[in-house]
Amino acid sequence: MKARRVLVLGVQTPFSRGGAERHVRRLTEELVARGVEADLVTLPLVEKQRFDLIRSAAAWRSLDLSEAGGQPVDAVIATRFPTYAARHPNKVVWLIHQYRQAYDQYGTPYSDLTASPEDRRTREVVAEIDRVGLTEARRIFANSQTVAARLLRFNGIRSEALYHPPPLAGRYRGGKLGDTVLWIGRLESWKRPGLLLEALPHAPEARAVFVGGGPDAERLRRRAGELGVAGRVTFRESVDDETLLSLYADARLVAVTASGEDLGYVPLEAFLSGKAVLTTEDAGGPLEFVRDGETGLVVAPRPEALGVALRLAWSRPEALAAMGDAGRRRAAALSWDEPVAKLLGAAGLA
Amino acid sequence: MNANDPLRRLAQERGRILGELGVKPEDARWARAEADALASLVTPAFPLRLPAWVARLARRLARIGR
Repeated sequence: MKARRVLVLGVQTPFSRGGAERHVRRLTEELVARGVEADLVTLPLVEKQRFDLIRSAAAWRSLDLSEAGGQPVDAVIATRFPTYAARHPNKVVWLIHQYRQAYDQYGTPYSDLTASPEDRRTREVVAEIDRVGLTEARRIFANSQTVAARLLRFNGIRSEALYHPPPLAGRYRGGKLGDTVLWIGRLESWKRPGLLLEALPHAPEARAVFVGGGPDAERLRRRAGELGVAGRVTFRESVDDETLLSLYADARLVAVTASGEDLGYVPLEAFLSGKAVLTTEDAGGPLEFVRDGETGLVVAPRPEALGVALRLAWSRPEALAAMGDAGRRRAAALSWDEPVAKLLGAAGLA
Repeated sequence: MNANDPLRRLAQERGRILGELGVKPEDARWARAEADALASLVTPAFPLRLPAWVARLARRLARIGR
């Protein structure tokens, strides 16, 4: 059988190793593991001015990806804005997310786009880039129903949700119910780490571990002191994979506080570690897996509500363990076989 | 400078692509930023004043690209 040559297209955020970066690397590896000659192509997206967004899309559009090393490239898999601006006769999109500041985050504190003429044009051009880049694809998948729903709502474009396991699938392990609530992510406003921090005074037994760095790190440390909970809070800017696995295994439960998350690996990682997830009613993607009372606790996005849930988690360990088990069964059903088969099938390379 | 000049061909290509992606002539500041980047390929040590022909070309091509 002729080798199938596929390029995965990803955005590189220099000096960052977020979920999106890990996702495209893992996708490439999974394709290779199934006999596909696959490689990852990335371009950095550095936003110093509005035009950088458009310039980056134009850079992707400028590339000739039809062949590499004198051999044709059979398909490209674009993953997020603006990689899908790339031209290829056999382009498939597996959308991680769009440029959300121009869409659902516009008009919220999480977007720095204003009503200025330049920002208005930026939003219009971002929407045009999405229209041009996405509608010429042979097929569009999204990594969650939340992302698919946004694409339909804001752009009128249909897509199919395609789930996949988190990055360290196969290595997560369970452990006893510990005495910490674990929070993992970038310490920035829309991830709302402050919600959990502000909940701690309402749950005197709970201890919290925050893993991640970001612009809000110092403010959160100060706030922990002001709240009188500094002795119950640990901040760790970054951890290696083995430490991350241990933190999951030793946690009592895992909190996910972001608003309108795309999918979020954290709930799936928590489940595969046998831990229940505490999240909020406006969490977005996590709610596709976290069911209140079944696999976790879903509460209003208020510190008092999270505090009540934490008290419950500390007073009802047996119920918490059962939720973690149910979550593990749910997440264990996910594999790379289905998304890889569907992506290759859409490209006519199955 | 002739029509086959690589920089001119690059400017044409970039102008067409920007137009395809929704950039319009009214986005003069962006066209200028693009022209500035192109001009830097010719005059990397002369960043303050870009050649007028490049700015004109980029604006015109952005219009054509529409």
